[in-house]
Amino acid sequence: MLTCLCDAFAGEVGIAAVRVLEAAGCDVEFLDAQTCCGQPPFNSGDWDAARTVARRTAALFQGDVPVVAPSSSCTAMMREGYAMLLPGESTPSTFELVEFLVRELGVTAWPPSPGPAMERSIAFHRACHGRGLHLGDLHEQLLSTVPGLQMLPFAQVEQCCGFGGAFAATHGPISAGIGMEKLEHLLASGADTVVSGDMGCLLHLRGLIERHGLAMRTQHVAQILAEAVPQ
Amino acid sequence: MKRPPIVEASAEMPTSTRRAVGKSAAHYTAARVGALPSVFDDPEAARTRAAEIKQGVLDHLPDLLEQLEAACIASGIRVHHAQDAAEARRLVIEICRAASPAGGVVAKAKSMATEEIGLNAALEEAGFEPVETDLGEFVVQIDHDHPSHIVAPIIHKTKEDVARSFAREGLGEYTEDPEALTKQARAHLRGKFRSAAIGVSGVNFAIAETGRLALVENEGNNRLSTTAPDVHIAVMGIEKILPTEEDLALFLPLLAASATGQSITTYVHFVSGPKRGDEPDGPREVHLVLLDNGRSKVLAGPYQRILLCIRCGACLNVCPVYRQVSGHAYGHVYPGPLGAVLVPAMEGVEQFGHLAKASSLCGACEEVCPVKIPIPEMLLRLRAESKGDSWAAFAAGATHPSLWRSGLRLLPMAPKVGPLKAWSEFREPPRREGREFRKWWHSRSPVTPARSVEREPSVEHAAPRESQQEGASDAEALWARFQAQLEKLQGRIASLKELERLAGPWWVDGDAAERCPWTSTTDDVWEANVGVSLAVCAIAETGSVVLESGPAKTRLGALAPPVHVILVPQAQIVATLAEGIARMSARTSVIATGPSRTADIGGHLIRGVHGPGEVIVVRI
Ligand code: SF4
Repeated sequence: MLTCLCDAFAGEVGIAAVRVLEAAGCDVEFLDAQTCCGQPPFNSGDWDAARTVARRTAALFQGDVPVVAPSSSCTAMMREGYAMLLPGESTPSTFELVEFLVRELGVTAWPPSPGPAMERSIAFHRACHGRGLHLGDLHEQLLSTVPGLQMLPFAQVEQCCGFGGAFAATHGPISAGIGMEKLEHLLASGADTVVSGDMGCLLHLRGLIERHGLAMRTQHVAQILAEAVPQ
Repeated sequence: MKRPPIVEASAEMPTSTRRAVGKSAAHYTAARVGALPSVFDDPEAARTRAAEIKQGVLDHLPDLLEQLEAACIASGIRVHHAQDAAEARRLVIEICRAASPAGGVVAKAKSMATEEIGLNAALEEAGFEPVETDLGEFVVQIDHDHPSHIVAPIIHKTKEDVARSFAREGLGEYTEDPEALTKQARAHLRGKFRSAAIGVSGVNFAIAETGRLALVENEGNNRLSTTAPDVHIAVMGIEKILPTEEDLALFLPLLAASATGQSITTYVHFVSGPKRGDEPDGPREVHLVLLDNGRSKVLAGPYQRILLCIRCGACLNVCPVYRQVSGHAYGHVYPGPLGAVLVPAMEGVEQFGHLAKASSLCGACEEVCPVKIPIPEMLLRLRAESKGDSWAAFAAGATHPSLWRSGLRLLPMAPKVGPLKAWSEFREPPRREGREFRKWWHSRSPVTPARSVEREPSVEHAAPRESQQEGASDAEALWARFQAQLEKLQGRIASLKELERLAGPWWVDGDAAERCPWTSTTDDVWEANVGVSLAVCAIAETGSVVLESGPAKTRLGALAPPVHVILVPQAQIVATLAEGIARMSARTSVIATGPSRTADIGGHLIRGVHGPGEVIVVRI
């Protein structure tokens, strides 16, 4: 499942996710008819609209092929959100990319076959929807096995970046304030790149970085993992 | 675009306020994270158990309320029922008028329930002088402000703010030293405690089985407000019940750790009715006002579980939105994630449904909540319940793949319309970077049909640890543990001989006086420099002592003097809080842990705010 944000803005993240899954030995399928998981209307309170979208997506992905999304937010929607929205209905088994690698495929180190060291230092931002999925520090654990990748610590890791979907638009000053505080901590780590598992967080942070002329790049975790795979 | 009320309300907030709130909230969050594993072998299991117990309370609330009322009446507490805020105010004022027809000072301990019903204004109107005695609430009151946090009412004020307020009120010489400011407040409020005819408090936990009211605090003002005046009125939301006293062994540390990172608050006051005939002090009347004010409605509806809340404030501290806007922006006494659910659930989504939208749904609140309230899920349900924008057009697009694809292709080019316009007010608009996924996908050689991936069994989450067995049962080991805990809190153990150096005059309880000879005693407990009491027992795991009321035992002796000496018989030491609670008699008692303390002013920890600043334990 490609997320809407990757579909619209960050195709490279989707491409990287496919490469990562293939490097882990999966055959990847993409359904051109896919649209959205239904999270935006769900979070905004229009559950009728959300249900319409969710039913369609659930039907599209029915079967026993696991669904993998490069986003804990879309995954949480298809797991917890669908359970609230479509109680009793069958919904696809959906996994966040790293969750799938580690918990389903049993990957314990990355890349699967040794490649050159990366020589990068990053700060990893945990996307909040990983909480509902009980991801804990799963991303950090896997990233820590990537040769040459240094993860720099920073303060208040548990804090949200302030994105929150529609919240970023409806409550702009608050959302931006939270984001600036996050960036303050991220910058203090000394890392030149913030890495996260959700495009929402990254687009929001990048928008702030560019508006305020800060010295930081954003990258999706799929891109880092893809980069580590020997060509 | 019209801004949501919370954005409007926080727009004028000075940066210094935001910084002060953020700093304290981050401090409490870190303290909580540090405290939980040191207090519980398995914090997860403790939260699960607490949630189950409170859910049991909600499931049997009418029965438990009946049981509580009967037990209260048996112990001499008079019980009143208030359907709404107006009735609660009227009841309290009636009791006050009967107790003190001429008006006068009403000493108030910190209580969100009395904030909820707007009691202070009503008391003033009725000719009384309500005085907030919690340091933070006192500042709020003299500033004609409102608390901006349910545990730390002046989280939004700096020590400079407090310094200016105290100087303006003539409390003493201008100073920005938190310790000196605390002393000024102590001196000022002493007079109020002594002249108050009535004390008003909230209730943290009411025990249905025994009719005991447990009040927790750190400063000692709560105990003074409910001990010195002749009449004590406790106002309590009907959901704040626990079935048995045993439950407190779980809830007291859970509340303290979640709220402030303590293993137990300095004082846990157990009110078991008015002063008995043979007791030298304490109120002669105790009233309990059971406040509904919309709670029955919430209990019957989809947001019932918000009533599990034990008001620890952890969800406020961790909430990124709360940290940005502080408490006032929520427009209600209950702010933060707790308020964003409780307030619309109690007062209706028409008026307060907008609060549910003021969240990034990050889920941190649910993760920290000691009773595991699914706040984000309830915010989502509230959003669904309040009328919002229709997403029908979006749904139509998302069910037509070709429409969807062209829409997405256009989106990055349209930063001037729709949601991207609001987005771009504070951030640069997102751009498309690199290749388009779908184009790339279709340019690849045709893919083989999907085969299902062999699944490994998913990783089981760590099972709850077995709780550690209490290893050392021998008294010396327990005393060593007790001493270590007490010293962490800046209390100490001393010998009787060392006490001779303490400056008098002394106030000595009758049963303590028998134990050893004292000189330069006084008959006025308020004038004493040292108070001496005999404890029921000491609790090793928390460094606490259990003190009870009784013949020749004063409550104020442990509270009013700046130094408190506690005699504990050698053999009277227990390992755990649960054992300590079990040792208490049916009389009004207190579990006291270290010196009185506050961190209300700029987060600086100060000892001896209302109760004793020095605590000395003597093994006898
Ligand atoms: S909702 Fe939970 S975290 Fe928030 S104040 Fe209540 S008990 Fe504490």
